[in-house]
Amino acid sequence: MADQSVHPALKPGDEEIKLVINGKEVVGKKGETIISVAAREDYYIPHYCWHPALSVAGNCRLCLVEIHLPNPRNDNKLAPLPKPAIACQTPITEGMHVFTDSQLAKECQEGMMEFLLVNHPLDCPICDRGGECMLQRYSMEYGTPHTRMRDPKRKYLKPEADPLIDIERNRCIMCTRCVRFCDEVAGEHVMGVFARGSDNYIGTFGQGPVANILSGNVIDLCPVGCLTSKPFRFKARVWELLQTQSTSIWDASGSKVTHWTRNGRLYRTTPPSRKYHGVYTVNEDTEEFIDNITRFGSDFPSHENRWDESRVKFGENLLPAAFTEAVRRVATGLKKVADEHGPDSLAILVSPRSSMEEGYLAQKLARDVIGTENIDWRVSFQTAEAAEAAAQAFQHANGDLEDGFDAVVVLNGDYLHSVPAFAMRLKEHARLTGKPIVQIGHHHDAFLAPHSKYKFHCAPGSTAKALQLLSKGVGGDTSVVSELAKIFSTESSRVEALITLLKGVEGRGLVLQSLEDLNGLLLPNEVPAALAFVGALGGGWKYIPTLRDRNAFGLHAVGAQPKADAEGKSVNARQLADAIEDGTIKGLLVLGADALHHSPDRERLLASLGKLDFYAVSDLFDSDYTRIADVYLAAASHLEKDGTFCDVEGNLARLASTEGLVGGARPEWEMLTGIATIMGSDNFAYETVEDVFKEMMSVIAPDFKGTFKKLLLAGPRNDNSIKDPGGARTHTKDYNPGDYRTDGAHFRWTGEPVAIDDQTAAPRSVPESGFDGFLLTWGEHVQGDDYHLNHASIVELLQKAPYVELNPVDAVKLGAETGDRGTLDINGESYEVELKVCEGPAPGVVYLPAGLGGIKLSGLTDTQAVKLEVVKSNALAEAGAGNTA
Amino acid sequence: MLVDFLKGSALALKHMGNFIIGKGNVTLEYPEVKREQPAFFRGRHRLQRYRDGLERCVGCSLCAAVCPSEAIYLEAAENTDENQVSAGERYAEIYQIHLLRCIFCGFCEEACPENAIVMGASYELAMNKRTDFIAEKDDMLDPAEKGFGDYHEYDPYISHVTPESDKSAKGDPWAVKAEH
Repeated sequence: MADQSVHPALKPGDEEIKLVINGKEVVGKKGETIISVAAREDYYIPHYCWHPALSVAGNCRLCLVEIHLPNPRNDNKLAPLPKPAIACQTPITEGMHVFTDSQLAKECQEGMMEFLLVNHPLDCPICDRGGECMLQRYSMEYGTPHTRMRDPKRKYLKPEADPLIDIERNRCIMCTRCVRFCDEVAGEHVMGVFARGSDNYIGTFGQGPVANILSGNVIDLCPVGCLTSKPFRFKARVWELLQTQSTSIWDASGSKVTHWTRNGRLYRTTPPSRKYHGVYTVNEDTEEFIDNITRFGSDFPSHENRWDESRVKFGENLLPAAFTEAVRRVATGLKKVADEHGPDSLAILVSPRSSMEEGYLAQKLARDVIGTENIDWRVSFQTAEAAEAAAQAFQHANGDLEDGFDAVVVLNGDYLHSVPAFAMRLKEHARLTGKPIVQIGHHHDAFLAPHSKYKFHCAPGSTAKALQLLSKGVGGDTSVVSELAKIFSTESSRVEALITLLKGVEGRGLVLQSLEDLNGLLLPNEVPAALAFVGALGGGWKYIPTLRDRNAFGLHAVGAQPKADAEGKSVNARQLADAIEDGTIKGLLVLGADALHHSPDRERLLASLGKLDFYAVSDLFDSDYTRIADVYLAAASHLEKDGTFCDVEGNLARLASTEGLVGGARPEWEMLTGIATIMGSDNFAYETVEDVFKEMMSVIAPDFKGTFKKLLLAGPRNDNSIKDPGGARTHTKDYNPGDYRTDGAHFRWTGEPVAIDDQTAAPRSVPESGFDGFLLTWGEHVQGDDYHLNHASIVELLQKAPYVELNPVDAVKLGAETGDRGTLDINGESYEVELKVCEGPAPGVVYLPAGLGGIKLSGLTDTQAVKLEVVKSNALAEAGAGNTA
Repeated sequence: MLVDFLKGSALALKHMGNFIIGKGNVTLEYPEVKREQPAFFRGRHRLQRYRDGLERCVGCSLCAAVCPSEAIYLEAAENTDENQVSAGERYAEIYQIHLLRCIFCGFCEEACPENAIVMGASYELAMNKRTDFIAEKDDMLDPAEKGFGDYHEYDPYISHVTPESDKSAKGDPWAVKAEH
């Protein structure tokens, strides 16, 4: 319950200030600026440079307002300020009277609009921003209908800087939103303001690209047509497109998006559009930032290899067939195998990008109809033990960034490149509130590093031991300090400071752990250690495991994996290739061929599929995995179906169909319903996917208050406004957290304490001293080889070239710099990589993002030694020069 | 009585004479002769060009947005150095008007910021197939083979602007106005 004595806009403890805006008495808290108070009270003040998620620049001068202040030397009578002041930078004071629409304010707005239009070209018919442009709108609302400008306008040459972002400097009004976004949110100083005076222009340093996974957001931030999307360039006008609120299938942070479609084709994907001034638009003041993969890669369903008709094997050929016929073949095929070899000879593999409804029906089909536990979604883990550890982690997940935190411990991980929006929100929270981040492990997130108060590197395999000792230290055991200092190679005083910090957190704390297989062979040790650590820290501490797989949490919740007590009796995803080869599994149903593609040993799995008696797959594309199927079921893509997804924080989001089904493709819940019904089940009588949702939620979360429809509107999940948890929000009216949060659902926090024994925590063996190479750690990268991303129209611009991260200490030893090339020898194979020197990996360790450039990482051990040799970039340049000469 | 008879005969002879010398005819030898239309007539659409042959249309879609019967569909593309189609950065790659939907209101002409689309004078809108009523860009675009100055005689849709009446304004009437 909110405290009744406190104004709803404030939190208890805030200093309250009363002021008057346009004659209405309003309340703000000390330190707030006029523009944010006015925005909360629905007084719109025009602005360009001010953005709620960015720092105040105060350079567009459009938000000038008239201010009257009480004059203490004249009996506190109101006296006007001699000059108008900018609302974005002027803090509120007691008794202040603000006029946003007085004659003076209007004259100021008109004057500033005229200044801004002095050099702005009037090419709105050509400009892609037309229709969602702040300058266009303001010149209608606040500008004058004529121009006094007679001189030629300023013109710049157009740079070819970024492959995804088009920079048209003539249209720039120098608001510097893009520069501040890159500096503050994306964390890379890549954009800047160049030249002086009226020659000012926006650009990137060295004409380089804005190479960041969040770079696409500067397109939405730009209030004019200076930064526009290259893939969307001139494709359509924004008012012609149909907007559908949906969610990303790439980002497990739960990013919400809007798909913009026309005639069944996806034109662009943006953060959710919201209603401003009667129109749904995305451009203005959006605080919801999405990653580039979601933004530019979501159009894969229109790839030329799309098979939108179901197919069945006829002799040697896979021929198009009606959907009902294909479903009948699958049902009879599965039944035949089950009758001949028993139900446990069948297995169902579910893609981690399937919706929760699909996962629920798949496990219901496996358990209730077929009668087997052979169902799994956990395909991307290196080992079965790592998958089990992940299940344990999910079972204890209970944190949500939205609640805020007073300290956060970040364990091994590259969070920016596995859950980008989540990492961004975490960093923004730490940056704006100053709450400490502590990074512990053999790999730190370089993105979070500038805002991390403590960073402790240890050798690979020692993280579990370090956490066990830290748990003891937090419990009051001071004898562990020296041992911890040895593991972290640091002074005892820093370790003591860390323990003091952790013990001093009275409110909420958060422990983050990446299950991203970052040398995932260690997960069976690290997950119990982390859980025991959370338990030792006390009740205020929460735990969030992160995984790149979009719906991992949701599929875990619906039980689309073997039950814990069925271990040994069932076949999980990691044992599948073995089981097929030794004849245990005779029939396989795969929902989404990416489940096969993302398996670490996919070549072996693909080869083994030929030994199956019956193999059915539901997918979108003509690919290696579908061509050999007995039955191919054409599935609806993420643009064509409805469903529910769960993110790493356990919150639900709706996937929504944009313009209906394409060709003969059908959503997978219809297939599963059909298969189960033909196999003789009566419990699959679903009319719509909403029926499935209702039944599923009644099983997994009976207390859930939201509805299927409300989920569409629920929450901005990638919203930076959580930087002020529990405080004033701009979107409060739009949603209610109860609509999507699953707190208290019984698939979440089990509450059982986890103990860790010394054997589990024991450090893994490290190569003998004298070894002159590096230890390799690796993790999945969201811009790497990906079944769906491979079918996107601009995949070559979205996938990154292979690179390795290197500690600055090692870089000095090798004489390497960021941007140098190197060769990496893994298991006798040599790969050419780019070097990135950052504070990510520990000294003596290199971190390799998996999947980039086709580097194979199967068959590695947990302490893999590699050799890295540096080829200096100037040496390459000289060689290149020699070649051309 | 005789006077009345002569009066009547004179009128008949006068009309007969007028008919012979071709004065005061109301009917025309259509289709060989086509009726001239007033300048405000809203006939079949034309897409104009600049004097140098570049298309005026930049594919901004405002005509499609304003069209009350949703008869216009267009897709834009970007000009390149090798393929410069219009004067701006973008041009209309596909420009279609569904003439069966069109109500000839002329809103597209009013909305066009480039004076690219204008309502022409042609009223001959009969076709053999329904699909022929979808006018493609090439059907509406003024021809570019001959220079601008005498393109009118190649335009089958224009009758109210003849080369004679346009002699004073060399080139594009809109462009000339803009220059002065």
